[in-house]
Amino acid sequence: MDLVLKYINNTGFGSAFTIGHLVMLLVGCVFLYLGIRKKFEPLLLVPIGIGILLGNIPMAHGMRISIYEENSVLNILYFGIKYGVYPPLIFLGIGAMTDFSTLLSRPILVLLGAAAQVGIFITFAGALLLAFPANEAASIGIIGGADGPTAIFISSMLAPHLLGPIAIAAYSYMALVPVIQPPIMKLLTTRKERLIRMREPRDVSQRMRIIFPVAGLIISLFVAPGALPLLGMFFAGNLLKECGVTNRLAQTARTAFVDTVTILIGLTVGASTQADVFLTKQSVLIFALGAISFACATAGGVLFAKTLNLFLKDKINPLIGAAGVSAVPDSARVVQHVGREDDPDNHLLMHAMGPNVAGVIGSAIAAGVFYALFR
Amino acid sequence: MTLLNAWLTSGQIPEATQHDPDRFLRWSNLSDAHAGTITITGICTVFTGLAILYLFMVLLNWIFKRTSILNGEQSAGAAAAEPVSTSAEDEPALEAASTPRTMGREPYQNGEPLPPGWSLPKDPARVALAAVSAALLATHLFDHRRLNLGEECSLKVEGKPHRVSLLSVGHVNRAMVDGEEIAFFRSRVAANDATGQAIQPARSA
Repeated sequence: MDLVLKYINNTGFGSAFTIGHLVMLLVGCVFLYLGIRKKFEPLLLVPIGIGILLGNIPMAHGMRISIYEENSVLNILYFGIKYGVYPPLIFLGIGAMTDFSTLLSRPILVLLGAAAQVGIFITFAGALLLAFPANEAASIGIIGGADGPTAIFISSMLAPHLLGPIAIAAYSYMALVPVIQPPIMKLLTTRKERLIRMREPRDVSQRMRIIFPVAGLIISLFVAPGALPLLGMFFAGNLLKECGVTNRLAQTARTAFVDTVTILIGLTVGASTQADVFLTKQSVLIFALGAISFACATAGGVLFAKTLNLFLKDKINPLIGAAGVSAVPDSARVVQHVGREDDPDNHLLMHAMGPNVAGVIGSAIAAGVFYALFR
Repeated sequence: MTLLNAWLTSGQIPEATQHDPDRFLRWSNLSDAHAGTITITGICTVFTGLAILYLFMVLLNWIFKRTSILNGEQSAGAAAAEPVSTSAEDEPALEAASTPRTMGREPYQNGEPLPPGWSLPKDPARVALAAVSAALLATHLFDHRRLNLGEECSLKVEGKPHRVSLLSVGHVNRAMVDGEEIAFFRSRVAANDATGQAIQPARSA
């Protein structure tokens, strides 16, 4: 009988079960619903949702199953999050997917990527105001970069105990880009500005596309060496793509490789998000600050584009400033949709890709600054 | 400037990073000046880094433009470098450039020679097809569906479904749309002029 009771106690119905587990299991189901049914970033939300379910099954400790128990399977896979390994690998794949030709044909767009990163620092200041310590405030602020791997990287280095809510907030807001950005974009622009048609980007030679990742790597890492794991891998992936002699490697990097790491990131981030960390007042504040961060980043990019137009003869459609938020390519697609609402023949997608990819570099530089200051 | 000096010399800020729960709604462990310095330093660093990249790209563009001129590629290079406006006064230029040419190395608007056997479509329906392909290109590159080359899917454009698959991606992209192969420049996504005349090339019958 003792044996039976011991067994029952070790199941999910035993003494380990709390209301927090139930809530988190529901949160996991909501993520799965959003990913599968609503198709909000399913490549991210489905693995995270499964991970949340995996990580919040009640169990007795000592069974070497939980993600926080030494040498469990999930714990071993969690290594990549804990030591910041997975995010640079994701950046390798993203670099192998990225095309800088739009940016190279119109270099001024890179400054829109910079402007959108002000959301990170405004949120950093806001988090300090709410009594978060500097390292936590930096990790929260980076949510505004709309870059999941960067947010995970910085959180794992500076505030690992907040990794769960920060990662969930970052990926949730990335999925909600089509909901959050359009009202801000329309509020800050006039119809006349939204109708601006930009001149077609010109062709960029392969030689330029090879030189740029090499130079970009050197320049950005001299400015912010702390960003080396992220930007180093990003430009490496891009060089694999553009050099033309490593097509197999580039193809692998942007397909199976990045998909594999995405699965591992989603599962382990989800599994590490447990009730005692997620269901707290801090998490609510993190989510609120994340929303502010996104809004400020969007506004920063749009307003900077409007400011640039005061000096440019060849005007920029200010909507593309919103794509400086480095949610590639969702922000660019949002710009495309909002632009076409006023003019169905105004295709801004490829123009918006310029600030979009610049934003990836900008958010990684911001992460490098925080890492250098608060490690 | 004390914080900046500390950062530059040691890479560490002087204060501890302990959370103080009693200091709600006040700066937690940094003085106002230090928090402000970090914020401004961070913004300036991001702008500096990307501004240097901007200057480098401008330099690169200038070097390549000079190189193409010096190499005698003025006529093609200028066509590549000069943008084609879609404003009304430029329509006659587009009209002249879009005369179908099926063979040889006649320069196209972008300075890119048309592949042999390709001509420019005038049919607005083909413009719509090109737009569908452009949408497919976007989904191939960016969508969670991550379509493989040659893999067919259904896409709705303005409420009408189309069967599309992407055949190849490059400066000239090729797609199969509703059983018909078309080509389009990615940089000219649905950049048709006001009369609906397509300026993407397509394979002639």
